[in-house]
Amino acid sequence: MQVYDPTAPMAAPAEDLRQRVADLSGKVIGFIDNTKPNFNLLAQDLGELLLERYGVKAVIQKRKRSVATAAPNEVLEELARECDLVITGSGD
Amino acid sequence: MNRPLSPLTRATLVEAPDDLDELIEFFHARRWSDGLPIVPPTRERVARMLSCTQRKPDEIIAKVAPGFGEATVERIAINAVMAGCRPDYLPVLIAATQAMSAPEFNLQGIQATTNPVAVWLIINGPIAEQLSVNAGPNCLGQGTVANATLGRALRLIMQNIGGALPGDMDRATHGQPGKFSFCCAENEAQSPWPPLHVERGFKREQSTVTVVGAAGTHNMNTHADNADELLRVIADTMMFPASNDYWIGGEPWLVLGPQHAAILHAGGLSKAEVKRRLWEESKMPARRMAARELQRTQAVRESKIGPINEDTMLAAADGPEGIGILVAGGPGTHSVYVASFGDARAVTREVIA
Amino acid sequence: MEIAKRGKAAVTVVSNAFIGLGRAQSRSLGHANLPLAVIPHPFGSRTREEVRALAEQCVAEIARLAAAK
Repeated sequence: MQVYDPTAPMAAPAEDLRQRVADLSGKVIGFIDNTKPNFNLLAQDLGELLLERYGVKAVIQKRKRSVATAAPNEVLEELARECDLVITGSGD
Repeated sequence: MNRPLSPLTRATLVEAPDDLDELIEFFHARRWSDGLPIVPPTRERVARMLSCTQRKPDEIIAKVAPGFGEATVERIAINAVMAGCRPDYLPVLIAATQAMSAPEFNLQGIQATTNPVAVWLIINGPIAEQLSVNAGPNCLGQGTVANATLGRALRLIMQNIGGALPGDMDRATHGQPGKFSFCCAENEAQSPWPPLHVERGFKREQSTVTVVGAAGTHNMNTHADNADELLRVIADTMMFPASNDYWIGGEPWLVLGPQHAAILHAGGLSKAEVKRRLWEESKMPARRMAARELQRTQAVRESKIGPINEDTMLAAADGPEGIGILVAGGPGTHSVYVASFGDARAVTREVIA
Repeated sequence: MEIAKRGKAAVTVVSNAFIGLGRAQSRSLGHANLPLAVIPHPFGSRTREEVRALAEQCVAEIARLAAAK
């Protein structure tokens, strides 16, 4: 018999939005802390290592309100404006 | 972002086995079901379902997180047929799909989290009686077609259109039985207070569906016979240190059995007063939490409620109005605590044919 | 994803229990290959020293992903 497929196609074709940073030296790096346990510590350590070893110019740390909500627009705008690379956390 | 319009807004028919046993296995093999047998979504059954709405089959009601598949009226109808819904249930599912896609419901978080959160559907207004949605004895249990199949259909929509398959995009550590179906109506006839939809700005004669991100049900059996004592034991049950509501500032719900609601009403309490008292009396000392939860609570709630230390008395919601109250169930000395996902807010939408 | 849309580079740190979700979701939102730096799950219960050690591993991966074609 004929039946309907109940699923919806995953709509859009993939497009590569990816920007690259070949050399981190002198760059500004942002972190969005997802508030999951330990991510703040990981971000702190990564920030220190990037400053010490990769010669980055500055590190900016921002926090989401909580895990499962998206970061507010103004935070995203600010990081996109100020930073060359943004590092985020996802999941546990 | 500009994308070409999808040519796949209409659902596609596929060739499936004629034999019912084989057909059911065909759906399981594609992970198109929830583990239970389905009703085959044939052209005829889906057409019958679609005859119960004035909307066009290709109207897009929402894009359902986390896969953002297009929930057209037709796809909602297909999943409703599979779940065993009667045709006249369709408008409820359209409204529920709209409701769960509102940004404040945070469907993305609900679908993809490790939390067991299920979507609880609450039906209010005349449609509840028209569709025989159970608001009385065993309203959160088995035995009523509408309660069983409306919640099931919404889960199939979340899974098939939203793309959240268990173990893949649905990351639930355990999940819960409510993820099969979690649906009831309010027992408006036996409630001493205005019903939920009226509280949320609708007219009594309007029909609505409310979606709630429910982490589970916890029964409260008490023979307390006065309002003060009843509030005290309910408030005490609400507090637990591993609760999302307390660390995020959530939206806990109570399903008051009609007998308990009558005791509170006899004590002279309005619904708003019940909420205010429960919000106050269920404040929990922050030291009961694990140190890491306390850190997360500080990170998330200090911007709203000021400095938090171990002695802070934390409320389960940001304000008394953040506590949800529904009167439902049959006779008995029971009420139900529904702790929430925390990071979601209930949304109500009118049911329109 | 939101940062990439705004034209800047981004790397997401994800534990290996969540990698499927990250990949599936960036695909379904139309971004095929947003870079994911993977750390072992569970991450939240690690000690302070373990977090430091993971940061050591992760920082090189982030630098590599940021530059990768």
